[in-house]
Amino acid sequence: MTANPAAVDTVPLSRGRDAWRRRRAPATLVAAGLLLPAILFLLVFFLVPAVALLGYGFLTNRADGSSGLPLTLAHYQHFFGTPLYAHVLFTTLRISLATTVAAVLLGYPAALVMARNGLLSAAVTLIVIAPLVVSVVVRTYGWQLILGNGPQGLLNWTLMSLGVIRTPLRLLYSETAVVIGSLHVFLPMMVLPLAAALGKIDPRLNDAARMLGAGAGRIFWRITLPLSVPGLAVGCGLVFSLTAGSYVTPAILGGPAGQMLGNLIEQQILAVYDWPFGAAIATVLVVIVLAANLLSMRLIERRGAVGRQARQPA
Amino acid sequence: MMTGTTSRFSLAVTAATLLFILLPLAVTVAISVSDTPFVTFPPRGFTLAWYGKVLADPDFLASLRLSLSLAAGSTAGALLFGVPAAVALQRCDFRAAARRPASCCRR
Repeated sequence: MTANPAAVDTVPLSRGRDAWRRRRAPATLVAAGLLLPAILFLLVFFLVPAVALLGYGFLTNRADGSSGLPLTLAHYQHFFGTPLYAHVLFTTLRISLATTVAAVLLGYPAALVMARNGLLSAAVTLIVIAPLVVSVVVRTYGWQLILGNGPQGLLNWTLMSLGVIRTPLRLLYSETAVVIGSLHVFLPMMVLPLAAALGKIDPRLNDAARMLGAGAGRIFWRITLPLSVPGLAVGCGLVFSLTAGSYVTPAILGGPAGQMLGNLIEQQILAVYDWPFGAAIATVLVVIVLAANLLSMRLIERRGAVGRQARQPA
Repeated sequence: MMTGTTSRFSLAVTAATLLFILLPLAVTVAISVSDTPFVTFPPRGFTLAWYGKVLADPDFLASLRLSLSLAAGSTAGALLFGVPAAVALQRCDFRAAARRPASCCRR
């Protein structure tokens, strides 16, 4: 009897799997066919417009109001050379950074509570996720009512009724208002990845550390925090990028002091009709967001490599 | 189970965070049933008149109709493109397929 060694090799455990594989021999083709509509859609409705916008930023404005060749860097020079635009750029970076830091500080404890199992965790998860389905405009309008500058703003009214302040604070139409509004809109983007990362930490690590005499603070700094870095990096990348690109929140809460790059782009494209300059600003914004995300991905990769080393059996 | 200060501290901050999340939504709802035509705190009286007013407004109804049809349309589109792509991404290991074509199925 001549046994085919390859056949013996796959019998009996993986026979079912191999049969499945043979029946669907052109599986890669099928998979590619299933992916194709989504890829084509993204190509036509995302990639092509994005590249077109990128290209627009290098076109020369003609005297008759149209734009075309030759290619020029004038719009970028104009952007970085004008103090007003540099100011908006730094405002955007400041607001995004402040929102990210605030999201970490508020989100981390909530993620810790969410990562534990039980009714409390479920309730916290629900409340964190629920606002995601409420329109950003509605939520921002709510903040306008709370932060209102007159004595009729909820916060001013509360503080004045309590006798903490005499004259109403000016909160609305400032950078602070935009940070508060953005934090409210993007906090779930920090909490959800963070809670996922915290949930993956083996609870036995905490037990072991406690048995060896580590206090709660030490466990947090030496175990919980380092192992949550991937979630933290994803959350920071998301919150920073989304805040940097936001338009609605600064438009409603920012006033003249809190205008961000998104508002500047809208103004250039919809009011001034300077498409090339608007496209150049948009490109600057995209580059900032990409840089922030590359940074956070590097953090994840470094942490992932360390984790893999630690998990490898001796 | 986490005990002691970390836990209590986390719970306190979480409670504040939840309040922060819910407050703007609650305020908006509270003002929508307030009896005054301007925003005031505390909201005075209770009325559903604003809802009646909005529901009788043809502009509101037109934009509501548009919003709903856009939402339905984009959901349908996301299903149409997203479900096949999700199936392919889940069932196919594209890295393995690049090495050995026609072998991309997982399990």
